Formats: sequence, structure tokens, C-alpha cells
Amino acid sequence: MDEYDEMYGIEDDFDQQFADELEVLAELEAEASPVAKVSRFREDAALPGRPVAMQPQQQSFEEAITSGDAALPRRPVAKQPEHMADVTNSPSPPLEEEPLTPLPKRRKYDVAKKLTFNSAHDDDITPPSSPEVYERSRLSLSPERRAVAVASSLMDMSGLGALQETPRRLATATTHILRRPPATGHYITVTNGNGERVYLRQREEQVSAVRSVRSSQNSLGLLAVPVEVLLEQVMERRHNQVLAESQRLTDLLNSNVHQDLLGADEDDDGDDKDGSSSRLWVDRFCPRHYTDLLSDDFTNRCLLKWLKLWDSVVFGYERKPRPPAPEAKNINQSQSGFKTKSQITEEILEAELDQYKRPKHKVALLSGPPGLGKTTLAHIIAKHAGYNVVEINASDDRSAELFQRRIDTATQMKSVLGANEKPNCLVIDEIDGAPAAAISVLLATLNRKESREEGEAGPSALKKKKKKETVLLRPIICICNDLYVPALRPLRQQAFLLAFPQTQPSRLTQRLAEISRYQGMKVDTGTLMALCEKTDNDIRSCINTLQFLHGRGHTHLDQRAVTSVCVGQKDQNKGLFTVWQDIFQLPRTKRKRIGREGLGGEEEAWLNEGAQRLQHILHLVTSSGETEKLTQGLYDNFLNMKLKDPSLRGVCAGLDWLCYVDTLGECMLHTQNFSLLRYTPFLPAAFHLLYAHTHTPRINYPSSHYERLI
Amino acid sequence: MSLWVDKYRPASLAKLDYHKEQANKLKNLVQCGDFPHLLIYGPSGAGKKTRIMCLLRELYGAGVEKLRIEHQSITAPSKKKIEINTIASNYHLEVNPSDAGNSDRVVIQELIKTVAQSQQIQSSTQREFKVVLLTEVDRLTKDAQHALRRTMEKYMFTCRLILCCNSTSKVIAPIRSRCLAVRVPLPSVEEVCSVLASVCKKEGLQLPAELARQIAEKSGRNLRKALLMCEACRVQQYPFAADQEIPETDWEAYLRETANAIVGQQSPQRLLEVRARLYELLTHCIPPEVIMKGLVTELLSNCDGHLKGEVVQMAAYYEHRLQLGNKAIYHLEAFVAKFMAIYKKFMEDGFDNFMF
Repeated sequence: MDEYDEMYGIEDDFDQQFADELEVLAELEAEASPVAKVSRFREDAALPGRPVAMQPQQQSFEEAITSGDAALPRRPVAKQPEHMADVTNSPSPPLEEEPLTPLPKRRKYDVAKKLTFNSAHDDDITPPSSPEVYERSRLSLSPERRAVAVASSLMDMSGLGALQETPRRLATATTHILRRPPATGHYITVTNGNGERVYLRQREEQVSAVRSVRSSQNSLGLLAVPVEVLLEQVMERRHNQVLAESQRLTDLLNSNVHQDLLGADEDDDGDDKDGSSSRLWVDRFCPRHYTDLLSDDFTNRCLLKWLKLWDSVVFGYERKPRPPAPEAKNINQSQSGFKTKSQITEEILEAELDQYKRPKHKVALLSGPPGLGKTTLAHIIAKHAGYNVVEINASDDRSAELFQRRIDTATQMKSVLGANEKPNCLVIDEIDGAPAAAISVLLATLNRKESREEGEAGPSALKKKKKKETVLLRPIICICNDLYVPALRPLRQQAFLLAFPQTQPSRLTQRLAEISRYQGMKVDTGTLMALCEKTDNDIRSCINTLQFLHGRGHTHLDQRAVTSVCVGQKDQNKGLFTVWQDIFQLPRTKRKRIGREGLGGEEEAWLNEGAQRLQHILHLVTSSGETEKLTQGLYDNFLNMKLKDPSLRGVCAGLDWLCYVDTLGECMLHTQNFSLLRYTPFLPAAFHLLYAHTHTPRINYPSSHYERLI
Repeated sequence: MSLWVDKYRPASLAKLDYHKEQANKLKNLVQCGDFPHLLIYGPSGAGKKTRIMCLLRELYGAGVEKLRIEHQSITAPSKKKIEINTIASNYHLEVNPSDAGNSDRVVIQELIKTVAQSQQIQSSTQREFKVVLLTEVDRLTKDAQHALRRTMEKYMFTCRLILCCNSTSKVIAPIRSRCLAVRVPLPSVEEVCSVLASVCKKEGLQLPAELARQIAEKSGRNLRKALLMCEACRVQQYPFAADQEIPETDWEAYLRETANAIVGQQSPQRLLEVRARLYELLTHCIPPEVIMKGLVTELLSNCDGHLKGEVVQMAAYYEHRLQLGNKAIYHLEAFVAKFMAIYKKFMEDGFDNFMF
């Protein structure tokens, strides 16, 4: 018995916590079936073949809890008595394990409850015939008795009820008279004179009541919806509210108990299994650790190294002197022009710190096309190096004064609240869009020391301390797409430049495969490769497209689906030389171009290749925009291509196209009818079909026309 | 020292050397005291401009020869600044609106309208109207020509327009109907010869008749060109020989070489070389029409009879496209490429026939 009590101490605790809800539920129950409740007691001892399952020592925690929850008004118990029996009979896990892993089990029960509830919600339940009749005859309790039973049940629910004792005596009953509150379904607690308590399953009777209401409603209907139905709806709503509330509390309880055991990922998990999450996958599967990063390793390492250079000033660590050759440090910056880029980068990372122990370059400037993970990298590395990230991006106001204030705030102050105070690392995202004034403010902040330093000869320790307020002592990471924006020019000279290379398709594919496996999508590698190619290895775009397809209900993806979907292709401006090159060069046979129209089946691939190429060129040229220069470049270069054209027919055709476009242009300018502009992209398309070759073309910038004008 | 062309340009209608009947008619026209808008057209070197200047002198007297060059800048409604040079006397204004390219409409609307709107001050001693001389009217855009229509009617009282062009085909019909069209044809070979002789006589030189004739023929009856050639001959070798070689202009020689290059080989590489040469010609302000004409003439002499018709037809087609378009080089090169293709096919066919 002691053991038993210990065990159910937990249950009592639970009852205390949910006393309010349980009361509400009991009330609800009382309202729902005021009369029928008692008349329908099932004291079903008629199934002797059933094994008696009531061994209190084996009663599990979960069952107890679910039975606590299960006091619901409209539970279709009668539908599956066998199921109930199964639940009660199911072997419960050993006691020692229970407090450790209750969560997944609970969930299972919840789901089961929901399922049964939902399915039975609207159906007319036809109760099984034979036992009911039998029961009805047997069940007739006196009203006093009933009142006692209800009261005791309430007492029990609120945790004040008497503890059970010696259940073994009554255990001869079948599954319908239970020693423990049943796992699911309604029940009534009955206490006899000895103080013994049993739990009786209650059969649902609501259905027949509704039926009778409906039959009476045929005669007289003042409301559009009969009042009974309305009442029912109201109750249902209240019931749902109560359910939701209890669900919420349960979750809260769970999360409190198991906060330490389960990571944030697990939590997300739970949300998503329900399909209720609307978070973007890009955020959900965002890397959380340095090792998760998809971007180029060298770049990652360089940035981390640079950030680590700040350690001596920010954290006060002594920097380990590096063993490598001293002559590397002696070489001037001017000489390093002959070195490779990576060597220069390495050199910067090896360079001496200045007198404040700061690295020579106080700003790192990351640059690269969108979707490579620049922002993610900056955040993760800063966190990795023990900083608190403060981000300023294009969504913030970046006028000069505000920018100054924000920089100062971020670099000179530090949060005093919060458990772990970390130094700040400022991340300025999307800096290429910032006004030039803001960038000059940033530069002034960087160079603040120099200007003051020159005025005063010989920095004494005291002065240094005074000035320390103003000198920049925190790392700043800037991120941009276009490194060559005019506003960035002054910054470029002072910053530690890191250009992002393309993400490797293999790594990206691997990650995409993981994600899709995680989400239960069936995707093969070829499809993912196609997706990568379509988006130009843009991580964000890839994942978004995957999510889009998943949201559309594609659980099985093939190449066709990827090609046919019109999202994911970037509307990107390419340089003129790239466009010319694409026009004069045939795509490699292996790599099939993914055009916007994915008519491509396997057999039709040959037929469609031309169409796809055409589409590709049209798309390319339309997005490029510089029609005039493009045409001139084509004219200047097409004769230099390797033409196999002895009859000069192709040359004539090309020139006829040029003439046509020229006439078109003239007509367009004269009549101001710019709708004709839509026909000009066909010239490059025609040139592509006429002159494209597998060789890499050598393309010269068109100068003849301009030379002529000089 | 000025060129003979300018030095011996006749200054009055009475002194004109040829088309004397037309000169008389013009004189009569002016002597009535008034005349309608004029559209003077004819090939270059026929003396259109000379005739117009004589007419103006007849009208206003010697004051018309005091010319000044003005540099005007006009702001288009689109805030675009247009710079244009005008030559003006007290009585007339000479503009070449097609210098403004596509914005010539603005020049017509702004410049000419202001001039036309202002009254002549000394109407007692002078005519009541001014004259605006528009050159190269055939190169005006359609818009500009339409802009001209109402100006011509509305300011008839204060202003007369003299339009000068090579061909009326590019002048829109409403303009043509508002003007008295005067055609100035090329002088005949004899007339050119007589002009050359009289100029040489004034210069105190002996010009053999054969040489004069040769020059006249070579110049294509273009009197300006004939006089220039004559002067070139004089510089080259004075005591004129009857069989003296007449120096050819460089661009003509260049064009001939180009034509030979085309006939010599037909390949994309050769086409590329030809393109460079065509660019060279265009750079030196040789009009694309002239290049086309010169090329066709040279190429035809190298062609077989069967081919000639086809080539001429092609040339006509591409010249038409040239007029419609903007970038002459495309059209010239397209013609050259087409010729190459036809010629090559013809040669190969001929070779095959020869073989079998």
C-alpha cells in the first residue's frame, strides 16, 4: 500500500494542479446529461470471459492521468468496448521509468483521444445492442446514492477523495467495474458503505436524446436552428475551450518538467508533427553551430580567425605567437600585389595588432550574391567566438545621426542584465544600401583613434584611459551584396574583404536531402541537384522552394516537379560578358538547362532542348536590359566565332536579323511605340541558334562603333 | 585664297552659266515682288544653292551676302539642350535642321517659328517678308516635316521658306503641295566643259578641250566635283596635257579596293575586313547611299550577266532598308554578305558546270 501511495502521490499532485478544470468538466458533465447520467450506469459484470486487469501496482501514471482528463461529457465509450479493455489491459511500463519519459507516451494518448473524439463527433452512434439492454435492467441506483457518488467523484477529482484501499475484493468484476478510474471514457465513482470505491463506466446516452429532440423539432420551428442544437453548439464550444486550455496547461507542465531534457529542436518537432507550425524552413533548419555551416570552409575560417584577433582587446587573452616565418610579416602591403588572394588574406590574419591590440583591419566586409549564408555565418561565428550579436540592417533607419548613435551604443556599451553578459559584436547587414553619409560615420568611428592620437605626442597610460571611451574596441562585421557600390569605396580600403564563393552543390544537396527526409519528403539526389542548379546554389531559395512544394502537398518530388514549378528561378542581372558568352556558347550536354517552362519529359527532352535554350536566352536578355550594347557586342563578335558556314547563309541570316532590329529600333524611336521593344530579344536568341558553339568564345568589348564616332 | 568653286560662283541670276531659261523664270518670279514657298531639288553639284543665293540677292540686294554664323541653343520640352548652327544675314536665315538628329522637330517648332513670327522692321525699304532657307529637307524626320506644315501657312505674310533637298521622295506630300517645286538638273557635259573653260580662262590657264571633257565625264556632271578635279589637275601638273591622268579621290579608290576584296574571297574573315573598310568610309563622312552606289557599280563590273539583275535587286532592297534604319553599317554589311553568298554560289555552280 505504501508503494501504491507513493506512486499516486503524483496523481494527487496532478489533481491539485488541474482542480479547476476538472471541476469545470464535472459541471459540464452535469449539465449535459442531467437525467440520463445515472440511469445509464453500466455495472457490467456480464462478460466473464474477460480477464481481470485490475492490479493497482501495475497501474501506470499515464493511465491515471488520462483517466483524470477523460471525464468528458460526450465520449463515445460504447463504440469500442474492446478498445477500452485493451487500454486498461495494456502492460504498463515499469514504475521506475515513468517520471523519466512520460512525454511521448502522453502524446500518444492525447492523439488517441483526439482521434476518437473527432471521429465520433458528428456520427450517430448506434450502441451495441445486447449488453445495453442487459445493463439497463440492472442499473437502478437510488438518488441518494447517486448524489453521494457524484460528490465523492468531485472530491476525488479535486484530490480530496479518500484513497483507495483493498481493491482486491471487488476485482472480480469485469472491465466495466474498475478499481482505477478508466483510461478513457466516462465513469462514475461509487463508494459503498465500507468506504470502498469503484469506478463505473458510463455509457453515452446523448445521441438518443438529440434524436428525440430532432423528431420533436419537425413540428414546431421558430428558430432557423433548433434551440437544442444551438445549446449543443454552445456546449461544444465551451468544451473545446476547456480542452484547449487543459492541453495548453499540459504542454506547459511538460515543458517545465522536461526543459532540460529536451532541446529547442525537439520542441519544434512537436509543433510540426501537428502540422501547426508556419515557420519558414529556412529559419527552422538554420545552422546553429559552426560545423553546420554550408558556406565555404576557407571563408568561414578566415572570418573566425579575424574575429579571434579581437580576443586580446575584448577578452584580454594573450595572443599566441605564431611560429611561421617572420619574413612574411616584413613584406610590405605593396609587394603583396603579386600574391594570390588567399595569401593576402592569410597575411592580414597574421598581421600585428596595433597599439590597442586591435587587428589592423577593424571591419570585416563580407560580400557575395544573396542566399549564400553571409548573415548566418556572421551570426554564428560571432556567437561562437563568445559575442553578443547586435545587428543593424536595411530595415533600420540609417541616417547619419541614428547610425552614429547605434554604432556607439553597440560598441561601447554592454548589457548588464541577463545571465551571461557578453561583449557585443556589431553586424551591419545590407550595408550596400546604406547612404554614403552613414558609411562615412562608420569610417569616422573606425579612425577615431588616429585623428586624436596625432594631436597628442606620446600616449601616456592615463590619457589612454581617458580616451578609451571613444576608441572602437569591438569588432564590426559588414555584409553586402555588391562590393563595388560607390558608397562603399572608402570602406573597401580599410576593411578586411571576404568574398563568398558559390556554395558547393554537393553540400547543399546533402543538406536539402536531410531536410526533406526530416520532413518526410521523398526526393532523390538528381532532383535536388536540378533544384540547386535552378536556383544557382542559393541556399535560401532552394529551401523555400522545397517548403513551397511540400506545402503544396508534394511528398514525393521528382525532377519534373522541380522543373515545372515556376518558383525558385532567380531574376538576376548578369553582366554583359556573361550574356554574350551564354549566347555564343552551347550549354554543356550533361547539364540540362532548367528553363521556366518545364515541358521536359525524358523522350521530349531532345525536342525541347532547342525550346529551352531559346527560353533561356530570352529570359537572360530580357533581364539584362542593355539591348543596344548587347546588340553591338553581338555584331562585333559574331564573325569571330568558329562558323562552319561555307555558303555564308548563316552570316546573311544574322545580318538580316541585325537589319531588322535596326529598322525596328528606328521605327520605335520615331513613332515612340515602345511596345515594339518586346521583339528585340529575339535577335540574341536567333544569334544563339545560328552561331552557338561548344567552344568557349573569346569576346571583345564592342568598340568599333564608338571608335568611329571619335 | 579660296577654291575655284567659291571664287567663281555666280552671284546673280543673270550671270548663271546654264539653265538660263529657268534663271529667267526665277527672275520674273522675284520681280513681281513676291514669290511662294520654294522647294528646290536636284542632284548634288547641280547648282541649287548657287541659284538660291542668286535669287536672294535679286530679292534683297547685296546686303544678303553679309553673312554671320550664329550658334543657337534650344531647350527641348524634355529639358534636352540642342545646339545648332545657323547662317544668317539681315534678311534671311539658313538652317540645317537635320543636324539636330531626332530632335529636329524642336528646331522647327522653336527656332523657325520665332523667326517667322517676328516682323521685318524696315518694311518701307525692304520686302515685307524674311526668307528661311532650310537645307537637307529630305533628311528631316516626319515629325519635323509635319511641324513645318502649319508654320508655312500661318506665317506666310512674314516669312517665305525655301526648302532645298536632293530628292522630293522623302518630303511629305503636304509640304510638296505648299511649295513651288523647282528642279535643278545636272548640267550637260558640254555645259560643264564650258564652265571649266571659262574658269580656266579667268585663271589664265590653257585647258585642252579633251581634258575638260574627260574631267566632266569623270565627275559625273557634278560641277562642283568637276571644278575641284580641275583644280587638282592644275596642282598636279600645270601645262595641262590632253591625256593627263585625273586624280581620283581617295575614298573612291578605297571603295574600289573594297569591292575587289569582296570579289576576291568570300568568307567571314573577309567580311570582317570589309566591315573595317566600310567603317573607315563612314568615318570619313561618305554617305552610306554613296557607298552603296559605288559598291554596286564596282561589283557589277565584276559580275556575270545572270548575276547582275539579282545583285541590283538586292542592292535596291538593302538600300531601302538602309533608309528605314539607323545604323548604316548593318545594312551595308548585310548587302556585302548577301553578295558574297550569291557570288560564291554562282562561282561554285559555274565551276561544277565546267567540270562536267
